Amino acid sequence: MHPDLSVRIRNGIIVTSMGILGIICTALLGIFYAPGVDPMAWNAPEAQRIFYWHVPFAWSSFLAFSMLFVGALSWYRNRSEWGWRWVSTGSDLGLLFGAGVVTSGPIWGSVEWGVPWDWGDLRLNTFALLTGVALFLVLSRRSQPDGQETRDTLAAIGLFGFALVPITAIATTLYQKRHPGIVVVDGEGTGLDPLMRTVLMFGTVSFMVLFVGLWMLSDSVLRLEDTAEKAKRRLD
Amino acid sequence: MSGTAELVMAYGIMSAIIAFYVNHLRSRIVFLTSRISEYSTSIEEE
Repeated sequence: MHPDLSVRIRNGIIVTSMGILGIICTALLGIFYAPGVDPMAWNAPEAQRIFYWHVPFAWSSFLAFSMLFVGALSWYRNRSEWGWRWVSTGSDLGLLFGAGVVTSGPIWGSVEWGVPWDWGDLRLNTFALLTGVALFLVLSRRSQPDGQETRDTLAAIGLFGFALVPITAIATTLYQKRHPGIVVVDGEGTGLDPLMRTVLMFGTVSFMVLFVGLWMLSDSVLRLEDTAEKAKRRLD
Repeated sequence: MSGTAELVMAYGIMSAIIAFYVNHLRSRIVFLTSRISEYSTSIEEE
């Protein structure tokens, strides 16, 4: 194995471990340290603490979908290998973090709203669709033979899928039904307790570190696959 | 109904998702590293 790749994997393991440590601390701070919400105003005040992972999961998924978009653009512009690696890693991480959001959200919703899902809420549905696009890309990459045609098709789906990101973001403020709007920005009916905000920001930074670590490892796996494929061809 | 069971369930599922992906990456790295090493040995023998 190339020495650079060994260093990349080692660094990826270190950064991922730091991220995991950070998100564990976030969960503990969110559950045991952060102040609770008004039990009179919330149906399930304890379930609100899901928020400290649910929100950074959602933000990380948007970062992954942005990565997918940039990678797809680069693939179309000059068929760059790094562009395809970004498409692959972006779809993997988009599915990972998107799956966390669409499972934790309904668990929280079922106890807070009385229903796990609201089919009339644009934000929930576009986000689920976005995660569905990531799932489709991951499954297609694994089931289809790797080649320029496959990459072109999947990169196109990634590009069009990204259109759901601004729709989901706009739905946060303009078409808000059951799901709460932006809470980190202080405004009328919004805003967070300073301690809650600190824990949330700590969680966000931890998830960003985890994201970078997973990105480094995922990128290394793709490079290893490429090296193994080249070695196999040489042997054949 | 305070939602404590749902809190535990949500954190459990999100942890499992992350653990699954980290383990997937770990097993791929181990598998591919040994595969590359095998190929390199075969190429050198030839």
